[in-house]
Amino acid sequence: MSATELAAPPAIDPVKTGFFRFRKVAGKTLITNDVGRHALLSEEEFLRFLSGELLEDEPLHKRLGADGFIRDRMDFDALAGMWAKRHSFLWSGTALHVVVVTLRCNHRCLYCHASSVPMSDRSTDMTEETARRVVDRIFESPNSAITIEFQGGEPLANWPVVRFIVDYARRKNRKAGKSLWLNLVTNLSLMDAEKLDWLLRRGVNFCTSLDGPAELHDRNRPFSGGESHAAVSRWFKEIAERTKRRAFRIDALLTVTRRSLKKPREIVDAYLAVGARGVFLRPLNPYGMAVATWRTIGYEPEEFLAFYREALDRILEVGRERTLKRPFVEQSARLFLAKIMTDSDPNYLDLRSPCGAGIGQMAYDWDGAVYTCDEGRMIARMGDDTFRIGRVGEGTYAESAGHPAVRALAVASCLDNQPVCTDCAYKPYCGVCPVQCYKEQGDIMGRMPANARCKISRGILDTLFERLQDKRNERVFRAWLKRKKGDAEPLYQRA
Amino acid sequence: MERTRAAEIAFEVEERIYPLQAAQAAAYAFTDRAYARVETAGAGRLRVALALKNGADADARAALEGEFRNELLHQALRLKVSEANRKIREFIVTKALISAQPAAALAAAPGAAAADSCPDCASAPAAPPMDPELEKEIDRLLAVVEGESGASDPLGVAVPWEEKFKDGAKEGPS
Repeated sequence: MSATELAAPPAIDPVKTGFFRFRKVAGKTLITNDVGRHALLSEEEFLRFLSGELLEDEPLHKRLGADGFIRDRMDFDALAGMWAKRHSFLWSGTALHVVVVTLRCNHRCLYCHASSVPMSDRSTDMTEETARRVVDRIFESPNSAITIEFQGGEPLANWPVVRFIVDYARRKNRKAGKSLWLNLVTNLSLMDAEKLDWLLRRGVNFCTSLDGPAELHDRNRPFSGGESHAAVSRWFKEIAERTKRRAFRIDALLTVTRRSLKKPREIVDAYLAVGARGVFLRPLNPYGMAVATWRTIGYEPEEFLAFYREALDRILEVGRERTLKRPFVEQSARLFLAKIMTDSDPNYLDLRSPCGAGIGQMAYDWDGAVYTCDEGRMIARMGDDTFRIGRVGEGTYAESAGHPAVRALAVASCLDNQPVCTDCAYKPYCGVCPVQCYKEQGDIMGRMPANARCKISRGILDTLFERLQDKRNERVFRAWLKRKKGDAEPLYQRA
Repeated sequence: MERTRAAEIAFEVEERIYPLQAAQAAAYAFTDRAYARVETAGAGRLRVALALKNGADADARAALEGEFRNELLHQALRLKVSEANRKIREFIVTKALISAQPAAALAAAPGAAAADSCPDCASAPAAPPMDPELEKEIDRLLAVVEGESGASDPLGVAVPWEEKFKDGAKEGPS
């Protein structure tokens, strides 16, 4: 074997050049640092930055100095403040509490992550007694703001317990005085006018699934009661209209299957047609039914990224045509862009370091079992209780929050502990899911060079930095990040 | 690589490049598929032997060898990264874990002073998500719920006859 002679690395000025990570993006060199600031440099600029040859009065020197890249221009107090703001979740405690009120569902989605059961099987309905204990446990969270998210199965199949939890949580909160959010994740097929009025009057947020045009949606999400797409479209439009000027709202999630890959534009247009404020282009995850159907509906990360780029370009096209006051956003891009273009962190639990397992979220199953996160609960449904951290009515909240599984996941998802991640230019914007690593690679630490989620995140970030170089796109992206007056600061974000 | 028995492959590893801890962790990662043995092989050298539990053809051995070498590299790097970033990692993880503990648990724990607050975040509680109109409506609804006797009575069977039909607009059952 012959060895190729390598060129000597460029000289670095140890006095002027501060710490940075780098990556080639679209013919330029992207540099980032620990406070999340970035710069895209031409080759000539990069070499001058490295060798300390930038002149003090040139704009690039000033910009890099202000962003903490020039060693002898560092304002340590300001940089420490930026770091603390970006990591504010380290001081806040568990915000998201996922409550599975039943595993019954009237859909048989090809990718069902929750391993639902038929509607006739009432054995997995949460009882009112368990629900009361769950809410009591949730209110022990030290976070001054909490979200209760109803999941399933289809939560509306256990409507009495949904009602009970909403009322009981609101009553408890009169004394607790927390900022309380309630989210209902529903396929909307069991919605009716009475339930909707009841939920809207109590300020419940909605989140549903919409997989695109009717033909695609109905193939992915077979519904025993007829056409799923027709039901979701009808109720989505009504809820969107009735929550238009309110603090609470409806959003929809897309799960991308192999069948979706050829329809990026049609999917975006289907979301526009129901009046959605955006779309969340989420890849398929290896839980529940998706494991068995992967050969039919799964795909490689590269295939997802090709789909993603085309869908994003359609969204940018719409953004350039639309008034910037009514932006239509791609949610994963918005989450990354918030980290790239501002000094704050949207606290998306799957994209932070450490991840939210146990310290940002907990999941409560129908029988009162507590898990580190919704993904941990999904793994349990597949017969593996590794991520179970307690049961309501037994032990304490503190024992669950300090459970060895929580500690292990915090260490494993801390990017400063991950080979590859620790040196990656995208470290300030990214995160790993140790539960997904465990499922896919057999170890909560994961192996990033072969990790599908890592490939997808890197690909999305490459695309965003490429698109950001066009000023028209940058204007659209900035409109996505603007908060309207009266908008509440989200406590957490997750898929 | 050294081939010992048909189903076993063995590697000699230089400890200067791959420390014992990395070799052990790499071998351990294969214990679902292989029987693993780690031993010393002279000064500064380790010997790792893996015997496949099922199947021993040449392809399986070659795959095992490749995967083991990658795993060894991963574990050695992981050890290095873990050591290099120990302080920052411990700071971040400790902060995150402490923040998830209720105040009562922290007060009772030794070293409770570690739960100091973030100067930038403690003074900025999350904004209430509700609009004032909705808050009023919820208060009204809760007052109705709390005004009830406590027992659930969706059919109104506990409501006295006179109260139910006091306006005379509705007639009782015959």
